[in-house]
Amino acid sequence: MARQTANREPVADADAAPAPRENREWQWSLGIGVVILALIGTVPLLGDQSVLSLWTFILMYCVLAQGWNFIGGFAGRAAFGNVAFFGIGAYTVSLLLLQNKPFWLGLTLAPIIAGLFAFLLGLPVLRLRGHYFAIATLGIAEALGEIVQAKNIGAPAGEISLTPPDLNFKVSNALFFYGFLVLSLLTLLGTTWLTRTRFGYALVAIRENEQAAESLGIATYWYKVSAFVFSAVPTAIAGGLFAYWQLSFDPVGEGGAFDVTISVAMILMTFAGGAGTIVGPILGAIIIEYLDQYTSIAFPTFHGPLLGLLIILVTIFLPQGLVRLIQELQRNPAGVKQSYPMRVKQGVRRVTRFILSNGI
Amino acid sequence: MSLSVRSCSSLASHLRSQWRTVAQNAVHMVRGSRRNWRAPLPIVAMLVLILPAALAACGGSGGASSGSDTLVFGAPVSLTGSLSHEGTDTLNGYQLWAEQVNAAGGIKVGDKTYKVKIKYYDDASSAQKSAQLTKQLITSDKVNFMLGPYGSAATLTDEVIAQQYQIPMVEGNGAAQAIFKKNNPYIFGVLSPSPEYAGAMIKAALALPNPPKTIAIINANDSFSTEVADAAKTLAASSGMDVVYSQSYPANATDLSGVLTQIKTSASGGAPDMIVGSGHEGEALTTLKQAKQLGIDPKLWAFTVGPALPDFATTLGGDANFVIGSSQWTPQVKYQGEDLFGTAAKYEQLYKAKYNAEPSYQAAESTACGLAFQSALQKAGSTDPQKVRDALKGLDITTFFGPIKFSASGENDTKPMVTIQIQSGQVVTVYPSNVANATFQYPTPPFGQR
Repeated sequence: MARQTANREPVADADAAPAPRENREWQWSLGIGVVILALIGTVPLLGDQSVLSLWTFILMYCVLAQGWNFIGGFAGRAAFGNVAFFGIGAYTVSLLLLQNKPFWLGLTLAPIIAGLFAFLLGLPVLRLRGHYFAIATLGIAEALGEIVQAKNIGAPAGEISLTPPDLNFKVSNALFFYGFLVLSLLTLLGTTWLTRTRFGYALVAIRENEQAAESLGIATYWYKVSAFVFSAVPTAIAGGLFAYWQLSFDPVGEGGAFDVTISVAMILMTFAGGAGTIVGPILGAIIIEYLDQYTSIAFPTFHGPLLGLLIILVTIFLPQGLVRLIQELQRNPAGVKQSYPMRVKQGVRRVTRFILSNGI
Repeated sequence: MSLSVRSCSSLASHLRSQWRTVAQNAVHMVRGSRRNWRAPLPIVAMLVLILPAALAACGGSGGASSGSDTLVFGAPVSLTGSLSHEGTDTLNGYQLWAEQVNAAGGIKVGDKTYKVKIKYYDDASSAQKSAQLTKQLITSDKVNFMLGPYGSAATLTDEVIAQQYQIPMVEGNGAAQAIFKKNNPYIFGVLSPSPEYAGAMIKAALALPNPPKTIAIINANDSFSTEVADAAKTLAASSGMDVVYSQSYPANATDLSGVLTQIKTSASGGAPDMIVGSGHEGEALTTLKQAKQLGIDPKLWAFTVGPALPDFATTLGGDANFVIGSSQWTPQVKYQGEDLFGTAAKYEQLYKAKYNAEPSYQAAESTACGLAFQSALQKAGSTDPQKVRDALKGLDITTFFGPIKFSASGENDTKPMVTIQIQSGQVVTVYPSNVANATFQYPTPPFGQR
C-alpha cells in the first residue's frame, strides 16, 4: 500500500499513465475479498458439520488476522499480545451470559471494554519501541490469562462452561458461522476504508519511518494508539462469538482464550497473506488454518513438523506475503504495452526471481 | 519477524552477505545456466527426503474404510502439546485393546463377527481442536462409536458433540464431575469419579492402627482439583478427623511457601498429622521441596496426582519415600476379569510386550473403555448406537481394570481407587488390603531420615 500514490483527483483517462491502474488496486482487492467471503458463505449448504466448524474457525482467524493487520500490518508495530482482546471479549460475553444477561449485550460491551483497554494499555506501551513493545504486549496477554485463572473469574480457575443457546445445534452453528462471516466482511470494509484515508496513510508513514512521519506533522503517538484500538474491536467481538460458540474453554493453555499461540497465528497468517494489504490477512488465514486442519487429519502423527516446515518455507521464500507476489506478477515496470502471453511470461519470471532472491 | 532483520546485528549482516551470494547464484540459475545450481540443492534434498517420510507416517491411520464387517471407533487424543505424555498412553491403551480383540477373532454381535479399528487424530492438547476433530470423526469419517479424549477439558467439549449426533462415547480420562452433570445420556466414564482421588487416601489413613487425627488440605483452583478437595474435606470431617487448614492456590503455582508457612502452625502442636495436596505433579514436587526447606514434617504426605508417575520418585530421591498417592489402577490389583485380559498381571505382560514399558493407569483405563464397548455390543446383539447405549446403561461386568457398572449419570461409581506408596523409590500398592502388595509404612520420618 505504500506504493499507492495519494492522488485523490478523479482520473479521466484510464490508460493514460500507470497511476490509474494503481488507484484501481483497492477496488480489485475489495472485490476479491468480497468474492472469497461470498464463496465461503456457501459452506453451510454442504450440510457437513465438521466442514462448517472448520470454516467457522477459518473465518474467526480471518477476523483476528484482519484485526492484527491494523496495528501490525499498517502501523508496523510487533504486537504480540492481541489475544488479550480476544480473551477480554470471550470473558465479557461469558460473564454476562452467566448472569443471565442477553448475548447481544455482551457482544456490544465486549468491543467497548476491549477498545477502552487497548486505549489505556496503548498509552504506556506504545511509547516503547521495537522489541520492547513486543515483549510488553506479550507479557500483558499472558498476565491477563494468569489473573483470570488465579482469581477464579467466571468459574473455578476461569474454566468457563456455558449453557448452549436454546436452538437446534445445527441452526446455532450456522448462525455463529454467519456471525463470523459478517464480522470479517465489516473488517474488510474497514480495512479498505483505511487504505483510502489520511488515517491509513499516516499509519503507513509511521511504519515506513516514524521520525520522518513525525517531522511531517503526523501525531504518530495518537495514530498508533488509534490503530491499537482499531485492532482490539474486531478481535474482541470474535472472542465473544467464540465464547458462545464453543461454550467451554479455559483461560490459559492450548486452545485457551488467552493462549499465546492465537497471537502467533494472527501474525503468521497476516504475514503469509501480506501485511498491510486488504485481502492478505484473509488469504493467509484461509491457507494456514486449512493446512493446519488438513495436515492434522491426513498426517495425525506428523502434522506438527510438517506444518512447521511449511511455515519455515513461507517465511523464507515469501516474507512479504502472497499478495505481494500477485502484485509482482501484475507489475509492468517498463510501462509499455505488451501482449497478454508476454506479460504473463515476464510476470512469472519476475515472481520466480523474486521468490528465490527473497529466501536464498 | 521482519523486525529482527531490520535491527541488523553484526551476525545478521554477516548472514545476509552470505545469503546474497547464494541469491545471486539462484537468480543466475533462473536465467539459464544450470551449472550454478548448488546452494538450494540441500533444501530440495531435504524436501525430497521429508515428504515421503511424512506420507509414510500417515499410513498408520490414513485410510479409514469402515467396511461392513469392521467397527470403527473414533478417538481424538493428545499426541502433541502439554498432555502428549498422557495422550500417548491413552492411544496405546485403545490400540492394545483393538489388537487383542482382532487377535481373538473380533467381537461377536448377534450372528456376525466384527473386527475393530481405532481411527484417531491428534488434538494437540486443545479442547477446541478436540471438539473439531470429534465432529470430523462423526460426520466425515462416520465412525460407529466414540472413545474419549485425554483430560476433563476435552471430554467436556467432546461429549456435547457425541450427544448431538447420538453416538455413545465411553471415556476413561476425564474425572471431573461436571462431565456427568450435563444430563447427557451418551457419555460413560469407566474411571472412578473425582471424590475417590482423595477418598482412597483418607480411607487408607483411617485404616491404620494409629490413624492421623488432624488434616490439612490444599488444592489447585481448577475445577477438578477443587472437586477433589471439597470431597476430601467432607469425608475427613465426617470420619472424625479435624480439618485444621484448607486453602486453594492458583493452578500451576511455582511458589507455595505462603500456604506452607500457614500449615506449619495450623494444628495446636505444629504441623498437622496429614497433609493432602490436590493438584498436579509440578505442585506436588514444589510442596515437598519447600516443606523440606521450611521443616514441615507431618506424619503422612498425600497427593492426588504425582506419586504414581515414574519421574516423581526420581526427581525427589529419598524425600519421595513414604509419600502416598491415589491411582485408578496398578498392575498389582487383583480383579478376576471376564474380559480379554482377565487379570492385571496378564495386561501388564501384554502391554510390556507391545510397548516395552510399564502400563500406566491412563493406558489401563483407556483399554477398559474398549472392553465396556465390547461387552455392550455383545449384550445388545446389534451395532445400532441406541441399542449399544442402552446396553452400556445396564452393563455390570468385572474386568482386569475393576468393576464397570454405570450410574444413571454415566459414572462408574462402584469402582474403588487404590492407594499407592513410594517405598525405597518403588511404587507399591498399600490399600485396599485385598489388593495390596506391601504394608503401609507409617508414620513418615522427618526429611533427611527417609
